[in-house]
Amino acid sequence: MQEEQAQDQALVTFTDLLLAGQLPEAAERPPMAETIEVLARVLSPQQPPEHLRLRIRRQVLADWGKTTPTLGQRLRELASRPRYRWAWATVAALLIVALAAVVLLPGGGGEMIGTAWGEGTILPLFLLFLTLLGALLVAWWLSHRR
Amino acid sequence: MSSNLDSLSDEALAQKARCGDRAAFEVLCTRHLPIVYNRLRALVPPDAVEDITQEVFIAAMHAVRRFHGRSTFRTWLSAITRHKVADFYRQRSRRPETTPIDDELQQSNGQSWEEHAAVRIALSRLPEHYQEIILLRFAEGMPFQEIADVLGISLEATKSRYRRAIAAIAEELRR
Repeated sequence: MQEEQAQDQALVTFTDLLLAGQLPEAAERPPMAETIEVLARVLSPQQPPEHLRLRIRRQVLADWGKTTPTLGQRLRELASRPRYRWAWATVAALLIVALAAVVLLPGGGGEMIGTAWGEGTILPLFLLFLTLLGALLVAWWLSHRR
Repeated sequence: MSSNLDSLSDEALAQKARCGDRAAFEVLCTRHLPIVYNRLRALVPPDAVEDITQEVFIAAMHAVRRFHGRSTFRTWLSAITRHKVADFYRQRSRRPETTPIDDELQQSNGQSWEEHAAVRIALSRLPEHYQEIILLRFAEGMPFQEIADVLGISLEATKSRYRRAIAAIAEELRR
């Protein structure tokens, strides 16, 4: 075990020194040193050519608009994700409850006890407001969730 | 604007790109171009490196709105790169060992084409986790501690995997 760790370390040290260009001439060569030298020679990182960077940039500029999704596409994509379906179901349920309350409550809901608001359509409007607020909160949560 | 974007993490930039911010995607391209380019230099013939590099970034651009941050952007882009390499060999009905030698003679810019081809073939025969650690250390110049962080394993495990990967590629190069 310790011997293996020593071998690991010898190879790592040799690689680090070689890649840093700091390998002393008289350095001890671990087994497989030759393979490491070949890899260092062949695979050493190079700077990509400038014309390639420009070529990619041009292509991105030309194609970007074609990939930017419309609002409809974004909503469809969001709605189609399985893990978000329950959230959309919650929004739909909230809307149904609010609509049912508006339709079923007699006279549009009557008075709101304990408030200065008493007449007519206050309760349905309040429920609608709550629903919209809930929908907005869910939408905000969806858009900020990674 | 660009300097503001430069200070953002890959994942934050990808999030912006997902929402239609082209400048954010361009910063990601600039940041990751050397990584993709050097990986491809190790995996495909020299005459195909630039075309496939471009294909990787265009594919990333088309797919970025499906990037949900479940992996790092780097890992996600590496996966696209791997797919493009596989496509390259599949579409041309090529294996790394059957790439025409003439192309490489013309394209290798003085580097020994035999050595380059031998390493590419040997790499293509390695299991993915061995290939990955060799590419991270040599093609990307990443220090071992950073490799351990990227792979999500301990430094000791990284060193051990590295030794086994070197042994495996040495064996392939001897064939």
